[in-house]
Amino acid sequence: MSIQKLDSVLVDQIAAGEVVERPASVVKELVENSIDAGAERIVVMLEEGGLRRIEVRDDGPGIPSDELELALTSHATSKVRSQKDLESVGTLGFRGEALASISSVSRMEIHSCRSGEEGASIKIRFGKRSPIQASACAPGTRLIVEDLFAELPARLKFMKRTSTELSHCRAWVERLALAHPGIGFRCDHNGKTIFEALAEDDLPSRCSSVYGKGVASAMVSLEGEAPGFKLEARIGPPESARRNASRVHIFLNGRWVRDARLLRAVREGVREFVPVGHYPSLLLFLVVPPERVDVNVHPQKTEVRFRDERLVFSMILKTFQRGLCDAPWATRQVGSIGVSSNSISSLSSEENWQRPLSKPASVVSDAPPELPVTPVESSVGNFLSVSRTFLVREVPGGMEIIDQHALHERVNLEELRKEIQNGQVVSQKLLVPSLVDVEKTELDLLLARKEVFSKLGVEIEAFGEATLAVNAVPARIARLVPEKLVMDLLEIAAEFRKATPDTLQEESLHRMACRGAVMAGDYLDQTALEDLLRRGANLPQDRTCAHGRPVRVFLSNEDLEKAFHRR
Amino acid sequence: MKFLIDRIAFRDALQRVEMAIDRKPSRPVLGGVIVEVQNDRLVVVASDLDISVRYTLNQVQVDSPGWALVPGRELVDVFKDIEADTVTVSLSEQKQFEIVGGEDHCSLVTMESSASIGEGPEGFPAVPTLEGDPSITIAKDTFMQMIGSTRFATSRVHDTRFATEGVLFEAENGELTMVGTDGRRLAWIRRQAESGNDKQRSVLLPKMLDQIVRFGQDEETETIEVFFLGNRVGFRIGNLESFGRVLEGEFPNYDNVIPKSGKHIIRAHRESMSRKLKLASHLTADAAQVVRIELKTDAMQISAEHEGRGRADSTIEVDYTGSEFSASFNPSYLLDGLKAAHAEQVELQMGEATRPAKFVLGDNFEYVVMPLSNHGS
Repeated sequence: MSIQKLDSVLVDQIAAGEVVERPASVVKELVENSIDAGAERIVVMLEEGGLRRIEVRDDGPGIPSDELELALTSHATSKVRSQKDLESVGTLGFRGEALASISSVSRMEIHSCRSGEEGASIKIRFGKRSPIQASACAPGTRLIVEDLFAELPARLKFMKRTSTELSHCRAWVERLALAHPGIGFRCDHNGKTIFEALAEDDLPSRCSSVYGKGVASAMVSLEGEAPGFKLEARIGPPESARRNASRVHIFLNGRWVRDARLLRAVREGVREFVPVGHYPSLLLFLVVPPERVDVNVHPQKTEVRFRDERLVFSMILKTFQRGLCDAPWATRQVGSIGVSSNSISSLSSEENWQRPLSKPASVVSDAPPELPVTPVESSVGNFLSVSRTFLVREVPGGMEIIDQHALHERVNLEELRKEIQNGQVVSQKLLVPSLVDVEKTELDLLLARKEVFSKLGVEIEAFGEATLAVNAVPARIARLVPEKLVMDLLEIAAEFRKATPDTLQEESLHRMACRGAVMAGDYLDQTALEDLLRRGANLPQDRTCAHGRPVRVFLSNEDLEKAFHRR
Repeated sequence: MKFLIDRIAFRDALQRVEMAIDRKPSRPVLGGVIVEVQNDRLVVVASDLDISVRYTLNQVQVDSPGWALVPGRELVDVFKDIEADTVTVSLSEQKQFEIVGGEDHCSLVTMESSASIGEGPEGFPAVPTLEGDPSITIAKDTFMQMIGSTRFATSRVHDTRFATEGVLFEAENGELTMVGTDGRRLAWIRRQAESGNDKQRSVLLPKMLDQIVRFGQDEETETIEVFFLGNRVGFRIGNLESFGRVLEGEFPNYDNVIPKSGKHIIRAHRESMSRKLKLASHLTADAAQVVRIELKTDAMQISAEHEGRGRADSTIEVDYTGSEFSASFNPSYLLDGLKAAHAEQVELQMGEATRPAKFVLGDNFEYVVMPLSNHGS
């Protein structure tokens, strides 16, 4: 074949491959156009997940009839004029590709009317335009896209089920709605409204339409600042976290972005508050001077590059870590754990407490007798140890269940961390150095980090070519087995080969805190339990363990009443 | 099988084997108890894979001999609560273990049973019979004291490599040595045996020792016979025979660990030192307990500080003329040792602040504690 210049429709169809991937991309491009145009109400009507038909209506200023044709030409836009504009893009779109691309792969109709003028419409059938006609329509713009990809079987093959495509479309409407609380949104599917957000909404009510009322009301606001940068976030409680990032919405200067590195910064920031491997319910607004960020990395504009990446990431990290410590679900909601026994016993009259407890104890009489299913009275109030794992007790307004392992882990972590800060780590010498056989490379890896480990109270040295001697272990963690500790440190050192000493120290701390903690099922006598609870009471935060799993679950009287259908 | 027995006697016999009934048996037989009668003698046997206990009772009237393997927990519980002084036990034709006492009647399912003595139930762990001369015979009181002097220092954490969960038993030259350690402190005691010249060495599960301490006292005998049986150690105390699995794994060489002597030696009254230590330990951080011991001329000072709470300083008058010296310790370790001491007067020997400190807590009873060191300051 000889080399030829492609015709313009083909060029647009190829370009569409990058911009228009699926119906959701069309929804995104069209709604963004409406937002850029200054619309106050936007309605999206879908049929069959958008594959059959997508209609986007807005009450914006409309497109003048003489510019309609131009709007459909690629690289035609009203948003950018010069190269200088490109450096500080303030609108969501700017490449001037959307309409041309979409019209090349679908049947498209545009009806537009400027207020006080006559409306006009244009139809494009897979890139072939018909002449402009007069149209009777309300002020604003109405864009209809039908039979997307119908003439591109290769692309059509990649479409998923209707429900999948619909959820992608809906996700985009939600994202844009979150970013623009002043604009009303509605999304219909096959004639049924599936999402609605009023124009009068403020951010909290917008959050409830997206995350649901329960999560939205428990969300915590965070704010942070760095020179020229601003951060605002709303983050949901740990239990609303998900394994995927579907509930994370990051908006960079109002544009929804999904950037792997930003997500990593977020995860780092919420570490210890959200279970390992989970993403929080998060709404994050970043305001960055447009000239210091490049959003033009990819046509879909969901990836970004910062000029001061470290500054942005450290702002995220700091704001999250500081703010989350004060979050109501990060600290004790229900008064202090060291609540004096008086206030507890005044709440729980003898009868209320004793009767329900004596019964289960007799029912489970075939259980091993040393399982302490007995109420224990102590200076930290009455509590009940269940399955040697959970501590249950009454607190003002309800009851609380504590996971003994999670609490111990958190206690260890906080106390160790504080000791390291104060240079007070005490290490216990071992009678006989514990010898652990490792490989030569592993030995070198550990010895190179000897200083970091020594700060943690772990003293190691080489003992021959491939044996490591542990001379001392952190004194506070009585249950540590030196050999296991070495294996853990080795794993961490290997995983964080290039990490800074601080990161390494933090990772090792986490592991030691967990290893040194009592396990679920470990028997703790009353003194040990009380000691644990009292130490927990001194912590800055003890809602979650070092892995982000909850330490304590609070069931309010209301929750209990609901469970018993009293409400 | 049919016999008549005093309820209390049978209940007590069952309680002695109860600890060896597997709570969560991997095989049903391990949750059972063998009851065997013959020649006016009753033998109950239980065994999980760690310990086995056999108890013999002579106050029984046997109508017909035989044995049965019955659910252990249920049997123990039934005899706790059945209301009669004398109980008749028999095996029904349906192989049910019938217990009749006064107005009460219980029948337990048997897992296996037979009228002929000799073969035991299939799949039930073999429990050795103690024959011949024991490896060592030792006074019961001495033995109990030795356990009390070492058991407290054992490790509570399972270590795959070191057998520090258990107590080391060493018999040599007619002496028995016991050692307990958790890698941070070590208790050592040696006593003369009454007879036996075997050279043997085994590490025993603490559960086994607890069983002996709990029930050995009740037996009307002054001595304990110890049999080293390879992978098990057997004990005979009167009618009670207990067998414990030997723990695999290395045990620290105590000879290298126990310092021969120290530069800084003091003698103190056990009670007063305990009291001062307790006082100081009130002002140590909850988990990381540290007390500092300082030796000056004729005085030992014990101090502790809990950041944000306060500090404690207390002084004991001691005979000391050496150079000034100080070292830090975990007060619980020191208190554990003092509590186990046999004498009112204890001796503390220390070398360097980073080397082990040795307590002499009695005749041939020594206790070594590793010091603590501070990092980063």
